[in-house]
Amino acid sequence: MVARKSLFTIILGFVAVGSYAYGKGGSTSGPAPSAEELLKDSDRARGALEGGISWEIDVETFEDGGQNKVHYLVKVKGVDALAEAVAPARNKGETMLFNDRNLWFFKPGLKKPVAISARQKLMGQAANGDIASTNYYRDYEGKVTGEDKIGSADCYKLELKAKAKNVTYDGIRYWISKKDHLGLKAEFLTVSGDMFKSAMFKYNNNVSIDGKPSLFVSEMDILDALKQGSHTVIKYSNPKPESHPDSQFNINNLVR
Amino acid sequence: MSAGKWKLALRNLSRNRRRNFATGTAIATGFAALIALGGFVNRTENHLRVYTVYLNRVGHINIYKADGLDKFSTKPRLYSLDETDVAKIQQVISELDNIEIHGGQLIGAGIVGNGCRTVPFVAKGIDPKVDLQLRNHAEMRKWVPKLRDFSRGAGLWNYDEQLGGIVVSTGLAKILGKTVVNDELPKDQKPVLVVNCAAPDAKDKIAADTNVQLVAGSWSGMMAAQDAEIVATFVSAIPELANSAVETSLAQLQRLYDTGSVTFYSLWLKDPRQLKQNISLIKDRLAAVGLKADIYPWMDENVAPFYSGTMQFVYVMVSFITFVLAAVVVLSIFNSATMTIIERSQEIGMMRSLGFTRKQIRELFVMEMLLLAAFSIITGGIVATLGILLVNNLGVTYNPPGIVGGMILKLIPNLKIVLQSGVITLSLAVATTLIAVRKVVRTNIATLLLGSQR
Repeated sequence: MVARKSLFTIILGFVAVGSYAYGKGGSTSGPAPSAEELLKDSDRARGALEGGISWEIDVETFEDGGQNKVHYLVKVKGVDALAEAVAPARNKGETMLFNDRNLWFFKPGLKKPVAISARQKLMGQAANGDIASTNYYRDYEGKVTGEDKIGSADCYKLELKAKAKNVTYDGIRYWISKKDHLGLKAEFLTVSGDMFKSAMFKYNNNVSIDGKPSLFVSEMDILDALKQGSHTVIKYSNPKPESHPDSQFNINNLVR
Repeated sequence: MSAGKWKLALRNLSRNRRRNFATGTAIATGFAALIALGGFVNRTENHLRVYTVYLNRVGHINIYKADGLDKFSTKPRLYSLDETDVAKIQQVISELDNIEIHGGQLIGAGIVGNGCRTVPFVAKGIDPKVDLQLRNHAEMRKWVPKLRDFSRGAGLWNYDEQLGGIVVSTGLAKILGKTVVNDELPKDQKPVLVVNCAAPDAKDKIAADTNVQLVAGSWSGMMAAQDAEIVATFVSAIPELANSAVETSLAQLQRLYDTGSVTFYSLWLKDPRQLKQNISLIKDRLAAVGLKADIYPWMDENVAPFYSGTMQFVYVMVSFITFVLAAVVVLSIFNSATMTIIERSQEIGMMRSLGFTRKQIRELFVMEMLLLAAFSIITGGIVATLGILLVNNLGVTYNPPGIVGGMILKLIPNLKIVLQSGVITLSLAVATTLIAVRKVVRTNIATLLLGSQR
């Protein structure tokens, strides 16, 4: 009787362990994260931080055999961001200000700032919304649709749908690494679901968030799906936590 | 044909006045209708031609970089005419006598802002001096006198390039909340900055100046922006651009897109009848100077789809109406002539027995019809003139597809149309009479005299 009871306990134990493992998608490394968690984590590595942060970017555009490069200083505080061109001289002072989802463009000599849409493509393959921080968690409804590999990295594949009309893209297919929860690849979709451009991301920068070192995006390479050979590379450098006064993100102060 | 025969024909006509009156009325109405239709086609064709060539600035001849028409919008840098290309074109056309006006045009899109909101625009840049020549062209004054005027303000040629003047479509001005143009403001008026776009007075502040910002992706791949002042508003010649059309100087648009190139180069001819010869000549000479270019005449559906499509529709419609008109006239004449001939079969038999040949009988009937038709055509001409005067003075506006603001219904026939209508009417009348009389003149004399032909 005792032997029978022990055997029953062992079988029950195996069933319980098996059920637990099945519930985690066959993995024994812990529960699978939700789409929201993945987006929050991946956004953080692309600049979406509650506290202030700044970094520099080089936006290099290759189109029709021509090449152009502009260097920006980007300052972010919560949902506001400011990207100011510092080089070359002809672009110096051009500023893009993101107030939540509203985007303003201003350059020295203009009499008024210009309110533009985040999805308007006025710079190579990069939409203006690509220039500042990424807030996919806030802007898109996410759903994990499967698993995939990008290079040698195991990834979750997510389908993102825009929550509002004034966000940069209607839909995104997004690959987030299992290991670090970093967005490695994105395909940007039209409202009908067709891909019109894609991007690959690298994370060779480090930034200290809440005293802990974290990986930070270092490169976004955007390819135009319709124009072969045309692409834009955004290189990120020098990310550092920094507090910024609210006045820096006020469009009226910018114009004055 | 002797005078005696004409007298005989005239006397015969007077024998059955009521029937001949009915036949004559059908001929006169047909002739008047043909003139009116011709006048409608002439007016529509010329209106659309001038609208296309001068107002919409599709030159008689348009020179694009090879494949430029299709590919410019996606790869403007590769498929535009640069300064060297333009210099080659200007060198080639300087040797031609038939060029009246010429100039490059640049087309581009972007967004235009009023300090609070932005909307898309499609801009066309042209040298203001060329624009002035086109707007003051005799053809414009003759065929589209009202459309050549701006809704408000004055043309770009009146302003210094430094001002950054633009002309916008009335729809775009409304969307941007701009109710005045530059000349209507005090000279010391400065741009009004709207601090809070949601404030109740924001609308008034936006309307208080003419300043807007043009923003676009430059050809070098970067974002570009410029201030501009609205100096005039106009009714866009292209319905699709009613809410987004911007016209500005070529230099200003080139600055915005950071280029010295043009989308295409247009030539306006002194004598457009030499269009084919000029195109052939220019093609050969451009090839000789090493410029690979595509040349389009103004009526090509690729550069003027609206003209081409509308005129095809008009021609089909008018052809159908002309066919119905001709059928009515022919049947009226045939009916009347047949009745007359049957009634007069004994008379024809008598004439044949007196020595008249079949040919002479046919001639007599044709002469009767010619006299009736001539009288009817004169009457029809008078009726048409009065009718056309009435219609033209009514000032009825109608809206053919694709013409913003509609067209005033006017019938403008010319001498060629009147002559063609006359020839068609006479030919139909004579041919129908010959068909009607053919069988009777072949009948033997005895049968005709007995009246058994009836």
